[in-house]
Amino acid sequence: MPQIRTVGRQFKSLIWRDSIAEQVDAELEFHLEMLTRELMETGLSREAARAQALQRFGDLPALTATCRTIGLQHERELRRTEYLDELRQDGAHAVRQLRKSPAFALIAILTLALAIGANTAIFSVVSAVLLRPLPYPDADRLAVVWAASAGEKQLLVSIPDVKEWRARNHSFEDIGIVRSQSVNLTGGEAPDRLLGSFVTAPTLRLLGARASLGRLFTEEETTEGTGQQVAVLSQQAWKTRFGSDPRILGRILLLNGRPHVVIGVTDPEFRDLFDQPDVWLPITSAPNPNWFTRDNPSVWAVGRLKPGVTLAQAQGDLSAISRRLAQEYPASNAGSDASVFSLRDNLVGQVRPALLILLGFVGVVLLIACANVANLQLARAASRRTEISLRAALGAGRARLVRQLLTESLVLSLIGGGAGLVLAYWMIRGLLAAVPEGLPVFGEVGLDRGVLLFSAAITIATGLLFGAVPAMHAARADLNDSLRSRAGDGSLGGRGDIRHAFVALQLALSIVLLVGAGLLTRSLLALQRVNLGFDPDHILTAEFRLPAIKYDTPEQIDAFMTQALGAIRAVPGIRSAALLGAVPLSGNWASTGYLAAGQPAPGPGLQPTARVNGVTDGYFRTMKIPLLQGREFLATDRADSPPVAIVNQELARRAWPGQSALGQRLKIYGSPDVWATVVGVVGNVKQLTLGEPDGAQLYQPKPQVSGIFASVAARTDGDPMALAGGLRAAIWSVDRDQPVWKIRSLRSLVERDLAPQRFTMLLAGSFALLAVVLAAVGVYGVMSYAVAQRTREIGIRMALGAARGRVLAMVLGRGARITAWAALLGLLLSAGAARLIRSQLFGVNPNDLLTFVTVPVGLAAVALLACYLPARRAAGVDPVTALRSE
Amino acid sequence: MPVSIPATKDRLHGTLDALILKTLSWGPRHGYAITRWLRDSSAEAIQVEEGSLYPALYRMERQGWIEAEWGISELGRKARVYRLTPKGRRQLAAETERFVQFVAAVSPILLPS
Repeated sequence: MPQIRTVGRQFKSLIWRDSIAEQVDAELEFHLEMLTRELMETGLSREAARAQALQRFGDLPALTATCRTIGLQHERELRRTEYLDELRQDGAHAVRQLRKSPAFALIAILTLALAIGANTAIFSVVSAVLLRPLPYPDADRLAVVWAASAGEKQLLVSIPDVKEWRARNHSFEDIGIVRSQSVNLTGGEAPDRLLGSFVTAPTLRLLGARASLGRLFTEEETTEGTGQQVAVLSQQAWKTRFGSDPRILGRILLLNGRPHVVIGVTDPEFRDLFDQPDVWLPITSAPNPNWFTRDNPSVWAVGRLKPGVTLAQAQGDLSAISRRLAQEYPASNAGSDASVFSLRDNLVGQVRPALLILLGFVGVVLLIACANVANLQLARAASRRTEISLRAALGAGRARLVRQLLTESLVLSLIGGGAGLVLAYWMIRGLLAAVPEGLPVFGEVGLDRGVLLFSAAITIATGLLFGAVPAMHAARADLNDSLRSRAGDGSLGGRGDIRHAFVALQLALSIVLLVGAGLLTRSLLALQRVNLGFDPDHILTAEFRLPAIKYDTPEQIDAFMTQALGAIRAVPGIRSAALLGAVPLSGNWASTGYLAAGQPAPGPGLQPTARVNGVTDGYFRTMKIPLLQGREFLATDRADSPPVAIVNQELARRAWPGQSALGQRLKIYGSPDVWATVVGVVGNVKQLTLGEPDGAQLYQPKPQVSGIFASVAARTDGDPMALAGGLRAAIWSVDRDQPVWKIRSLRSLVERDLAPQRFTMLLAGSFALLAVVLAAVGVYGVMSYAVAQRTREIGIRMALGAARGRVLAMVLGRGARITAWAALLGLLLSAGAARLIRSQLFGVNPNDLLTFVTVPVGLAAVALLACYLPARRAAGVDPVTALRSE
Repeated sequence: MPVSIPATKDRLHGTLDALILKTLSWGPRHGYAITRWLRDSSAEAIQVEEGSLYPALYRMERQGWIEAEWGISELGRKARVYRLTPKGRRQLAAETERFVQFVAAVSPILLPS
């Protein structure tokens, strides 16, 4: 019966529109008829009377339409009011029901708040990093262009190549050059280091930069030949370093030893791409003239695609140009290609997988929370069966009942969501404190409109998700049966099975998260165990760069380096020290092509490359890089002595397999190319990241590679950072105007490299732990409830002679069956999920046996413990009391 | 001289509403009966146009002043019968009060003694 009534009502509401129209027609027709009859009484014929009546009505169709419109509006308002009334009633009823069972409400709300809060917090980061529009005009058309070779896709390009790209391409509106590098600022009280960005005029134009003071570069100012010594300061640098001096324009700054006129200050809103520089300089102010040669890749490029041009088209276009350049300049360009990235990919490509994985983790936590609350509700629905049957008996249709119960769920989830937002506020602060440096965040991370919308959406979805099954179940219950007797409550029939399924689902999902977190933890451990190839403890590092204007001959540079090294070695507490090009894990590195004597010449573009580092004597000893064969560099390896080189194990293996590398000769491509004799073989070193595979590395004596850039590595007796002042003073004792920057311990660089992995692992681990707690609470709740409902049955069994052990085994057995199913399902899901996080794994197989065995066993132990407590209670039932209580 | 009442001006609008409410205050009626009653009790002076009456009825129903239900007319035909609601009764009192004030204010000017 209720079905027919409901269907009838729905049907009626479907044809409501017609019904109003018919009513109006009927009413007006009735009036017309009455009028006609009245007129006929005055002696008119029926036709004449009808015509006159119609005339009285005026425009009948218009009148009909007006009445219909008003009637429809009225009807709609009525229905809305009715609906809102019912909603208000349902809401009030829901709140009353929750007040009646505060323990249930509290647990459910807390569960939801944690899950929704965590989701909101992670989403706020995802939104700020992956979703928010980039702060550039037409940002979706901005692309970053690098050079590419067979192996690598983000290599520096030579300035002449960028010029050719700019002149010959058909896909870009314009292309600009970028190169960030430290800049020495002198002439003040202490020498200072600014972060500089060397650009061409199009670069700033493409990025939509605006000057809040003065102006930006003109095309001429950044063009070779006509270039000017000008500079644009960032708003930040202008404020902090120049005290917002309003007369800054026209002031002359000594940058890299050369005078530059300040012509502008950028707008506070403007953000450069990767770093936030203090100062922009024309590329023509480059600190090193060999930046401009074709065989010396030194910059990268940013361009804006023409409207409608895809990345793939642009890639094809630039690749074709690169192929022609390779033909035109085979010496420098053989095998060189271009690689075009969308700006977004280039900025966030590295962090995207980790963030998506974390989002997946919290999403699963939310699912577990839903299963948990659904279970709690099912338990409660069972005890509320009488109330629900009564409402049904009093005429509430099934749809109405379902709506009532869903409203209760929504009220719960809304309260939980509200509390979750408060939690999220704190979680976001915690997240930001823990987030590794270098996360490209666009704007504020916080509870902005998008995040709030997301939160609202998952809150409502959550309410519907965990409310749907309990509501349908309650409404479908056999009403007569539950009114007649409550004996059925304890039987673990249909309802019990559903609750067990929910618990099994929770456990299975927890296994998925634990396996994920386990694999990430194993990766982190593997990374921490990686053989760095050196000993990072007690090493102090720093960087400096000599201004080219002051040190413009190799002799001057060499003299400074020698004196500085001597001064550093004399600092008390420093045991040994060396100068080098690029400190491992500092982010600096250089590579070069090489040719091993005795090996066949490779085809064009197939020439092997190696990471190259210029180091002074004492470097390998200081870093404790094992010297496997031959000797270290000596103080006697000078610029004018025979060129020598030290190679790592990997290069020796590749170049001279099965032979000793000692005494072999090696051609090192550079400017100029040299033939060097291998005097030593050392161990492999992690240069760029801990996770990199072993590659070819070669070392040259620092005096044999000219260069104004140097890093320091010093082994100290105690805490390396305690000697930072001493190191700086030692360099200043040689040149008072020489800034020294990035003074840090090598250990901190190792930690920095581990930070992103550690961050992901910590968060994933916390979520997995939260999942386990929720699942354990779920198991405990279901088993407790089952035991409580079966007290009478257990009492009878025990009265009939069942031993306590049997009862214990019976309850535990049920728990074990659920757990076994959950473990099976969990392992299957995990096998799939592990594949999704493969990109974040290091040194561990996605199907790692240890993880896949430990996790289910561990979780099963937790689940059985959660069953044991109710089981013990069941075994302790006193038969007499149990029977009497009914 | 009969006065035709269209639903154009605000004042007439209000007046028409008040007249209908007053009519219904004597008991439920269908639309035709309302026009008849107004004509009869004004000695044929007030002729409510059908084009004004029905929109007014639907509008007033929407306001909640009157409610409609289907009944059987004196001729045995189905007819929509309107009835005053408590809200409508209050509206009638307010309209009447306003009309009295209006007349009291306007009379000394238009009809100097």
